[in-house]
Amino acid sequence: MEIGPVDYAVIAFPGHHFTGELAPELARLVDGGIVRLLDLAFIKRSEDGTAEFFELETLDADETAAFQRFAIRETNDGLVSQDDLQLVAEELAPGTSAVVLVWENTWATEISAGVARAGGQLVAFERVPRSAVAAALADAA
Amino acid sequence: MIRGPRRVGRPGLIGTAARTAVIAGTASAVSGRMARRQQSSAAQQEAAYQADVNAAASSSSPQQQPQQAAEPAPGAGALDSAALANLERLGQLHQQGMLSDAEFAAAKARILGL
Repeated sequence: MEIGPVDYAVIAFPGHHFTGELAPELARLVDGGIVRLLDLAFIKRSEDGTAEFFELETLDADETAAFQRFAIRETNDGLVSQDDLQLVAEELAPGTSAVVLVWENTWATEISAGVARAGGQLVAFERVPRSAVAAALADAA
Repeated sequence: MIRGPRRVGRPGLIGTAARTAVIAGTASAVSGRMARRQQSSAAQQEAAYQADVNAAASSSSPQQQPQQAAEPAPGAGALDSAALANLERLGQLHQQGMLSDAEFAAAKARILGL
């Protein structure tokens, strides 16, 4: 199976609720065939630092209402392991909740395949930090 | 009812990505910390396993020398900083095309004691 580049992101929210505003934007990308959601997990870290892990299916429905449309996944078993979630949890500040998202950049699959067919080689590829972009733009102005 | 995904207790996508980033020398602050924590938790598990083995050995055969049993298993457990530096250097050489995939894999396996 051809799979495009895969990214993951951990997005933390203050408090113990997952804000739903992310979900409609994610839905737009999924519906538009721009990304394919490969995995989704939720973590809550309490004030005392204890981490709790949730799946879409095990969280209160009202808390994840916005995410429910992602309940049917492409894979049955999480690509993100329990060890991974533990590692991520330790990066979270106490009293925050986080969503872990893994997605395939379906928009990039074809261009990647095209590069390979043309005998091209990926020499460098990097997400440029926002501050570096701002600095470069300021210098160029 | 749709069941949630099974999550097994081994390094998954995120842990593997963090370790790969360290080996390739492209680790961010977060992925570097996650890779180090994986390493230390693997070392603790190894130490706990070794302690179990030692306990079992000393209870079944008390005449055995305990200091001999306490030797860490070769090639397992934590990477020392020299090994990590070697891995990072290898990653750079590989990225620069001075090592083929096969050479890189073989050298990496040697350092990791696989």
